Amino acid sequence: MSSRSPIDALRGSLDLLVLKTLSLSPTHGWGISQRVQQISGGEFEMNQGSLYPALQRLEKEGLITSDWGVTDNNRQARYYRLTAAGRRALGDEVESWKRFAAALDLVLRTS
Amino acid sequence: MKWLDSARTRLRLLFARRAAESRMNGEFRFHIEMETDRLIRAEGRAPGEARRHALAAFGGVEKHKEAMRDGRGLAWLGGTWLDWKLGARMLLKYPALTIIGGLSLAGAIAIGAVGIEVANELLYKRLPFDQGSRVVRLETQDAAASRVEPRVLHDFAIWRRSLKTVVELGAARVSERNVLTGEGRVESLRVAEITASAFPLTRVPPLLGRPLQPTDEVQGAQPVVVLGYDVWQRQFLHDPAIVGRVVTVGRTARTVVGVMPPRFGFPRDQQAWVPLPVQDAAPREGPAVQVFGRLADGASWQDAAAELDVVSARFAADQPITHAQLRTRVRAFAGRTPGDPLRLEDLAVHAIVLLLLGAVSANVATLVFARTAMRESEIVVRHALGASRGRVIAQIVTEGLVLALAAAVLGLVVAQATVRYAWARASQITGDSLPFWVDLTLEPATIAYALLLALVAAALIGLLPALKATGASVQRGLQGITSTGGTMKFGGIWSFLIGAQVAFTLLFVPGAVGIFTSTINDQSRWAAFPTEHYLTFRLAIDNEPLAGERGAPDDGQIGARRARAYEELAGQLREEPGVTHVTHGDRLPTMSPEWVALEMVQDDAPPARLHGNYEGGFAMAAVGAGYHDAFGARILAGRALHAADAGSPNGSVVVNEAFTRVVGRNPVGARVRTLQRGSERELGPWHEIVGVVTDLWTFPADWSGAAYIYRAASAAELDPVVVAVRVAGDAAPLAPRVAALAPQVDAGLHLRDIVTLYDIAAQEQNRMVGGSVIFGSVLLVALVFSAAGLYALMAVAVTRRTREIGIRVALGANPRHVLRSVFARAGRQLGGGIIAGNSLILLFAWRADSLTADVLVSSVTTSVMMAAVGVLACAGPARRALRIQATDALRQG
Repeated sequence: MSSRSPIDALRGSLDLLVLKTLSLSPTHGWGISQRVQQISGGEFEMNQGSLYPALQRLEKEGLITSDWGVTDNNRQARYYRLTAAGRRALGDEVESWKRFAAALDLVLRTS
Repeated sequence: MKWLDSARTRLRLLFARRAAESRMNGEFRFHIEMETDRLIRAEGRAPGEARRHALAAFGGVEKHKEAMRDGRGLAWLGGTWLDWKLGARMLLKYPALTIIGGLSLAGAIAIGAVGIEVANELLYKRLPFDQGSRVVRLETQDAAASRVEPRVLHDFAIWRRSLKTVVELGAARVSERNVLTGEGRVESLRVAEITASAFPLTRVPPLLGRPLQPTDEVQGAQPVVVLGYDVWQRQFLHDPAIVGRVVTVGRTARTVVGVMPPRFGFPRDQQAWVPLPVQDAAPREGPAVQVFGRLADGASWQDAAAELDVVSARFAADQPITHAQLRTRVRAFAGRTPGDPLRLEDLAVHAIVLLLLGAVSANVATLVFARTAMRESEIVVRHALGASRGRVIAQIVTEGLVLALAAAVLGLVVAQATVRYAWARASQITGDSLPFWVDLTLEPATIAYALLLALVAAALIGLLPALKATGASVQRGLQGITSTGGTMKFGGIWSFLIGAQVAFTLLFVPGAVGIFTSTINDQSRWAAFPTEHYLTFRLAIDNEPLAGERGAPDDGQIGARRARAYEELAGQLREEPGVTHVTHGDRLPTMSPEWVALEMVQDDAPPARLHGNYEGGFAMAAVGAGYHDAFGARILAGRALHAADAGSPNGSVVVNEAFTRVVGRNPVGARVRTLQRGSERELGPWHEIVGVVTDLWTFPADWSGAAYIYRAASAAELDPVVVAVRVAGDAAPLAPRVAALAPQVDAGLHLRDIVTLYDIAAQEQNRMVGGSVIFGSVLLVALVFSAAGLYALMAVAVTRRTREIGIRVALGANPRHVLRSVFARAGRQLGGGIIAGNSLILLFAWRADSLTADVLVSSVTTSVMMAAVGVLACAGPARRALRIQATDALRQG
């Protein structure tokens, strides 16, 4: 764990993180939370339970889909995968985020 | 397909609630187990500690579950289901409110449902045919005589050839005929002589064989008959080989050519159909027929009306002597004719129902209000814990809805029973069976209307208390519930409700008691003659041409035939052992009379309008010679009616004793004429009063004491003829003999309802007793309801002041003074209601000219009862308040 305070996964960015994680490979809810932690080097520490309402919302929007599957240690888990619409949405979100980050960076540099 | 995936997920989440919950629990469990394993494996924590950490990292499980349920869009559903369960529990928890409120609402909804069902059947029902709403009848009015002219065979022949907007024209005349089957069974059936064109008009194919065809109408064609389904079932036991069999219909042997399907009774309620030969008739001559047709494709009602106006005008120009005053209109065959102005009475049904429902709902609302006031602390705590105002209101309204829906179900059951009873009774009174298109089961529209009424009632009984209960701020509410008093203030509205409750009860009770006591009194009246000694029946004759007669007989010929048959039957009956009198009339003394207004002239004074003793009118009956003698009435002055008095438009009349009391002098020698009630212009001819007879005081109706005028009538003038046979002893054994004599007298003679007068009176009495019991029960429920409403209102009003009373006593106030202030307020509320109610009663009674001692006594009694209920309602809570300990009262402050 980093010595600095971990950044809270804000609701808007949580959707982006989930979609990005699932674009790598389908996985279950716990797997998503672990990958987010790993990829971000522990910078993002989300309240793990809040992941599930976000997954449900994304599924309702048709961006991801889910099915029951079996894990390596023979446990029943719900596996999520990105849909085509989700993949398109991820592209849009990444673009939008990049623009936002660039704009924010510009503002910070100026000040 | 994003939208498809999305829609599937949404539906699954919304409706597969249990599966969604299971999935959510499974995922959460898996997540926490995986995290626990990871913590044990990666960080070497003990299993218990690892699980605690995993749970902490996951966050509040219940919070996430709620978030997911909200996300499923199901939260409101769960809450609503809870409201319904709570509403059902409330019904059980407050049984008095459930029973009294439920019965009252059920009564109001039943009245509404019956009203709308009857209105629907009479005004809006269409023939159950393909495009049945376009089937019409042509009605010819004689403007001079203000009546329908049914002798239109001459015109019919021309309409059939020339009309363009009304096609498939047909005509029918209906009658009763005896049908004799091969096995020798005889049944009197309602037969239509009908043109073959009627069958394609209805577009209903026969079940067996063929319908009538134009060739059947031709002179000399083989006589045929088409049978109805019920007759085929009952008389011919579903014989599949019925077609081709020969049956005797009236006086003619006819071959059965077809059987119609169930529930076909065109034009009204017919059971068999024979061809109507349309012979050439002179204008306004020939038999009475009804004419019907179908609006041509593309033709509107206005087009048909316009064409018939043109045709009527042409007839009037070509044949002014017969047709100058005739106008033919196109009318809907069943129900209202499109374009007719909506009459006030059509709207009155809804207005009365809504008024009644409003009054009942206001009462129930009062009780619900009181109940809600008692649950104030629960409501405030729910509100404080986060329930929105909308949620709390939804809960209270749902409670009202549960009660209203339960009442609607009961109301619909009652309405169904009432509708069946009402149609049967109407059919009995008119002597006609119901039209075939009338359905005895409630229409879907009626059920929908009852449910709508339930919603209106729920809004009325739930919304006001709900708004009031949730109106106060949570803060104030929380402060308030720590005291006994609560915060729901009633003030002016409460006082008004109490006053209105008392006034309404006062207004309602005397009228209801009056109706109830007069009904009970009526039951104690009996006929002035031994009813078991009379056998009665209705006599009619068919209208089939006799051998040698050409064409259908007209009304005059049929009347003469009826009179001959009656005289012959009466002669034969007089020969029977024990028979002392045979008489006839248009009704029996036990039947409701015709009501007329009268004008009298005596001793060369100008004609004076008489004011009868039954709602200003006089009872009128047409009777045969010997009618009064047969019923034991004595002649008090002048003479009885003779057979020779009949048949003349201004024949002599006799009156009864009650008539003499009304005019205040011996009326023999005076002349009277009738005025059609409500129309001063319709003056009848003058009749001379030739005698006065004793009253035939009879059970069961109000009219038993009415002033009567009896005119002489022969059997030729009456259709049907009501016959009474007096026997020395029990008349019942004579019934089979009468039935056996009829076919011997005339093959076309029909006798119906052969029963003793005792049976008629007993049946009527049973109905009256049943009606009184129901009415009495409703009255009792209404009284209990009013008393309960008043009790609840006043008890709650005093209970709200418990804290104030306790503190006043604690501070040393004299309990007597405190009680006086409590009762003074109650007295003002009660007194206001009593004064208002009694003032309205006096006003109405004075306006209606019916201010009697009974009204005054019942008003005073009800006032005292309401006052007693009010005092009782105040006494209990006031006593409790006075007993409260000073410390308790102060602590509550």
